[in-house]
Amino acid sequence: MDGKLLLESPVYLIGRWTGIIVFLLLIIDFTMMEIFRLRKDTMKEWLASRVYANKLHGITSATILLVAILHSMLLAFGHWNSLVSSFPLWMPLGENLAIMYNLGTLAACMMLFLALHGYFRNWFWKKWSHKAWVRTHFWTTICLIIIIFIHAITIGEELQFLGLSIRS
Amino acid sequence: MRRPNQKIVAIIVLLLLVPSTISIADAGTKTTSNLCINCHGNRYGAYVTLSQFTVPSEVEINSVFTVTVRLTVSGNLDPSESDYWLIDGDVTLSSSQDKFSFSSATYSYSNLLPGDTVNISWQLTADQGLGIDTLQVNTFSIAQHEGRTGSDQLSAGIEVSPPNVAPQLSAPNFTPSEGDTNQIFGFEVTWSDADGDYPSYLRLILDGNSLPLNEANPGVDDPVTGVRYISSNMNLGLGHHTYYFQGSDGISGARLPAGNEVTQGPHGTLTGVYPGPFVGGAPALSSGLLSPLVGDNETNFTYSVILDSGDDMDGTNVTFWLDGFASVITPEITDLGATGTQYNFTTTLSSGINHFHYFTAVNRFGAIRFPAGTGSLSGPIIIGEVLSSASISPIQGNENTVYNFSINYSNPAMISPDSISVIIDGIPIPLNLTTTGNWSEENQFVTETMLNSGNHSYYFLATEGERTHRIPKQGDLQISVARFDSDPWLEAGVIIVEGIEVFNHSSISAIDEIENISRPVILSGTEIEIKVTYFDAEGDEAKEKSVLAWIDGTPHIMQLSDANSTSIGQEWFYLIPNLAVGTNHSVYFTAVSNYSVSEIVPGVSIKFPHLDNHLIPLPDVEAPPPPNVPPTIVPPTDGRMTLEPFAGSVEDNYTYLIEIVDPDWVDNRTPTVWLELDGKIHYLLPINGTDYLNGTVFGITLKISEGEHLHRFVVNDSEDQVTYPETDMLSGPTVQPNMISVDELKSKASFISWAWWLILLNSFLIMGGIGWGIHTFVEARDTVHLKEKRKVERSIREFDENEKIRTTELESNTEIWSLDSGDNHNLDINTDELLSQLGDEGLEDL
Repeated sequence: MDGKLLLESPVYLIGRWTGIIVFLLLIIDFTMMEIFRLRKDTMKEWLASRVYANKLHGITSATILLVAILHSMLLAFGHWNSLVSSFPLWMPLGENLAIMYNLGTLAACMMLFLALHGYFRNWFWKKWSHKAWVRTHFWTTICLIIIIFIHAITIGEELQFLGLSIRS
Repeated sequence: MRRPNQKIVAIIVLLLLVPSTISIADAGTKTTSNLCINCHGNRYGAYVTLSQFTVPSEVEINSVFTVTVRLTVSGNLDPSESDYWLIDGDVTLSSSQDKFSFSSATYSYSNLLPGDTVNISWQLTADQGLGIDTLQVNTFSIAQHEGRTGSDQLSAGIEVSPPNVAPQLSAPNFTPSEGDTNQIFGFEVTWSDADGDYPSYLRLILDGNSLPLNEANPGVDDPVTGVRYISSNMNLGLGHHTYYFQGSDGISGARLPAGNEVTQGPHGTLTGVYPGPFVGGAPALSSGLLSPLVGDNETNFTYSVILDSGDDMDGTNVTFWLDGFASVITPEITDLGATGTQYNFTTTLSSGINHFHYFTAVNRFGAIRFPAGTGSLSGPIIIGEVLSSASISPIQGNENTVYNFSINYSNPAMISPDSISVIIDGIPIPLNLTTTGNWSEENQFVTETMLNSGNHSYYFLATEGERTHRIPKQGDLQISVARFDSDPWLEAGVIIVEGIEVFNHSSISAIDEIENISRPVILSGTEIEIKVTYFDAEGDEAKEKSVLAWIDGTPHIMQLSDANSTSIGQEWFYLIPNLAVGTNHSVYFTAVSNYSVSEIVPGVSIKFPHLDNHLIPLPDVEAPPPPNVPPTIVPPTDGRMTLEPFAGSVEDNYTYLIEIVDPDWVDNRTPTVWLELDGKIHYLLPINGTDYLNGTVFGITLKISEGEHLHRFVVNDSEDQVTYPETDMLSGPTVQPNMISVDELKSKASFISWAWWLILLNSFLIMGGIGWGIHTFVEARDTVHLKEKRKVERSIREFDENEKIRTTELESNTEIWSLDSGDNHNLDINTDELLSQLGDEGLEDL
């Protein structure tokens, strides 16, 4: 009887925790950049100049995106592979956790958009303006954090203690 | 006899005509010698005496006048021999100068005896000339027995004067004209006489009283010219006085006014007198009366006083003083004639005051007070409230109550009441005196009576004299008499369990002994019926919801079980559905009568058992076994699925898991759990031990045929059966013949193998990113350190070249821009704005 039951795999555990790490890194990265934006002296004391700050932010953001991709692959190709399409990592809406699960996919897309938005910032600056680019980048990040937060507290097992989980 | 009488009359007339002041000579007395001397042995004597020889001292010429003498015979003769002693004689009048003529000078007498007296008179006329003359009377007597004689002689002088001129009185006067009784009055008159005669007689006749007058100026006035005569000072009595003067010069008289003169007096004409002074006095009050002496504040009291009649009523003012103040009451004045004038003052008086009064009258002669002195007259007695302390006892009662009506009566006039009664509903009931004593003190009148039920009105009424007194003054007093009501009672309290009477009135016990009562034991929830019967002799119902069964001290409203009248007993019951588990239960009953005397008085409360601290026991109650708690059936709480897998092939093993919790599980009762799969029952067994209280997972693994299946779980703890889900069926599993079995899948890798390459690539990228990031961060930090180092070096250099720079600036006087490529980061410009303007290409090297 026991051998017939499914047990939790390390891949599933790592996959969940990579998501948590992504969320924390995203918060830290966002916070740091906001501090640098509001307090230039701090930025200069820490990273000498905005060039380094922007460079480090771009590297960090790209790394966060890669970890988020790792998170999605570990779960989509592992624990949820029977319920999730391989690409674009989408769970059919008939499933119980489909909406909240797909919020993760949506978040990944937004992160990819932010990466491109940051990488091609010169184009955006010229196309519109620096301020428009900053506002777009800022509010998209805010929405991203909110979506990830909802995604985490609703289907994340580690955050079930908050009582907002939709898992039965 | 006729002639002597005529003479006597004539003499009297003459005497009246002759002024009385003329003096009459009296020659004394002369007695003869004893006319019986030497007779009969000298044992007897007889004498003749002349006396009272009256002769006027002066007569007017040609006037006629009378001379008289008395002849008296005396002696001690034996009366038996009087015949021997008869005396005879003559009396002769003679004039020595013959200036008078008279008819018969001798008067003879005979047969006189001792004890006889004879008055002899002669009428003379002075017609023989003027001058002085002497009249003499002689008697010669002789005793008849022996013939012895005797004689006497008397004489008197007389002057014949010429004719007299009558005196005159004039100028009568008196002063003052009026006064009071203390006033000194004086009268005066003038005497005139042509002959120069002074009055021999002059008197003031005041109110008929003769009063002397004296010469005002003695020795000065001459009667020929008039002499003023005055009276002595005098006080006069009250009233109008009259007077006249009368005098005489000895021959002629004078009177003023004349006797027939008519004068005008204050109250009419007067004759022969003058109106004299008026002597007035203070008015006189009398007969002060008050009527009635007793009354009330509506009585008209009349104070009356009589102002006594006086000679002068004008200007007399009568004042009535009531309670110390001059009254303004207009009096009713009644003339009582000679009695006087009556003044009636009529008024009403207020009660509660001791009234007093007096009268005063004032005129120009003085004032009078009635009563005299400083005293006052008291009264009347005003009778106010004679009734007091009206009471009724008791103030509440019923138709069997004897009500005592009482009232006190006192009358300041000490008038006994004619009647005192209490008028109840218009019917008078006399009250009886309970005390005897002074009516001025309070005397209690009472009566006792019973009243019918209902509302009654009453008042107290007393009559005394013509007055009635009432309490209350207006309206009536009210009393409500309740119907007589006896207390209701409870009887026949019984306790019935399942149709069996287990306790009744014989089970009543004191509270401290009720534990000793043997009681039946019933299970909790067993219905107990308790009954009691309510009685009331008058048929009064019990007050709504007042019949209570006090079970263990808690009241419960009992229900009426029949429609009987309370006079024959009305049964009430209460069903105790679930008496609390325990012992020593008890009950008692209470009720309240619906009838009450008044709204403020509640109905009578009664209790059964009647004695305090006595109760009726109730059965002891045991608790029934506790009710079964149905088990709960839920999916496994450890995260496992109720069905695994949901879909598979016919070769797969399908495991059903369900968790059972039975809170009241006991060892000897193992719940039975089964699976209804397509209507077929499969019993489940516990997995991983049994802990029914906290949850035991039951499971079963089955091979299931191809197709869609429905299932549900059922648990039964031998009392209750619970299904999961409660309604409907769960779908699953879906068994398909071509599906890979779970076991087969388990035997494969749980992760899509080709994805590992993606994972690996991704991991490399991540590590690369981390490395790049660290490198960038280190580089940035080195730049920070370098900038700090340059900053220090610049500070040292600026310090050494300070003077040089200053000199250079002074010499060139040119503004120098010092651009140091290493200090770009110190520019205070917006880097983001700069980036946006230059693009990243221009700043890559920076």
